[in-house]
Amino acid sequence: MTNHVRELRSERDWSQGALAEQLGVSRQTVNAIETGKYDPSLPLAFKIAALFDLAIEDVFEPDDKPKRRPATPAGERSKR
Amino acid sequence: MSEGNPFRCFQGRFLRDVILIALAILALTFLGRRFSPGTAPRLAIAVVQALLMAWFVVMTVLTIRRLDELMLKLHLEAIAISFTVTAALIAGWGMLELAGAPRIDWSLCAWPLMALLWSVAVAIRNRQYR
Repeated sequence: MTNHVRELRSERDWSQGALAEQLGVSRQTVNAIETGKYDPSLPLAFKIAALFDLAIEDVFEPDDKPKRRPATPAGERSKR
Repeated sequence: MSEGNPFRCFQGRFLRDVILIALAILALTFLGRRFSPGTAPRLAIAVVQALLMAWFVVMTVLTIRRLDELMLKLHLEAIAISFTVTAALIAGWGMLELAGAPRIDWSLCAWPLMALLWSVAVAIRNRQYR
C-alpha cells in the first residue's frame, strides 16, 4: 500500500511528532507509515484521513488497484 | 530516552515494580524455608508469592495494552517467538534428559529465557521499522 502522508504532513508544515501526537501514536509509527514499512490499521487510517480532511482513498492507495466491477442494477441481482 | 526505544514502556514505574516484586518473592522464598512444607505459614507464604506473580502478569498486560498499534504488533510478535522457542527448548531438552543429558530446573530458567528471547526479538523487529 502506498500513501501520501508525508506530502500531506509537509503541506501543513507539521512535524512527525506533531502528527503522532494528534493521532495518539508514537513518532516511530508515523515514520514507519510514511516510509511504507508499516500499513496502519483501518481505524488509524480513517483517523489520518479525517485529520487531513480527506477521504481515505485520497491518502492511501493499494499497490494493485482492483478493477471495479460495473454496478449491477438491484433487479438484476435479485434474479440470480 | 529515545523515541524509538521499544522498551520505553517497561522502564520507569513498571521496572521499579518488577524489581520490588522480584525482591519480595525472593525474600518470601527464604522466609518460607524456615517453615516445614505443609504448615500454614509456609502455605500462606506460597499464596502471597502466587499473588505477586499474578500481579506481575496483570501489570505486563496493562502495560502492553497501552502501547500504540505498531509497538503492540512488535511486542506481540516477540512474545509469540519467545513463547514458542522456549516451549520448543523445554520439550527438546526434556527428550535429551531422557537420553542422559543433565537435568535443568526450568522453573528457574524459563522466565529469564523468555524475557531474553522477547527482548532480542523486539530489538530485531524494531530495527526493521526504523
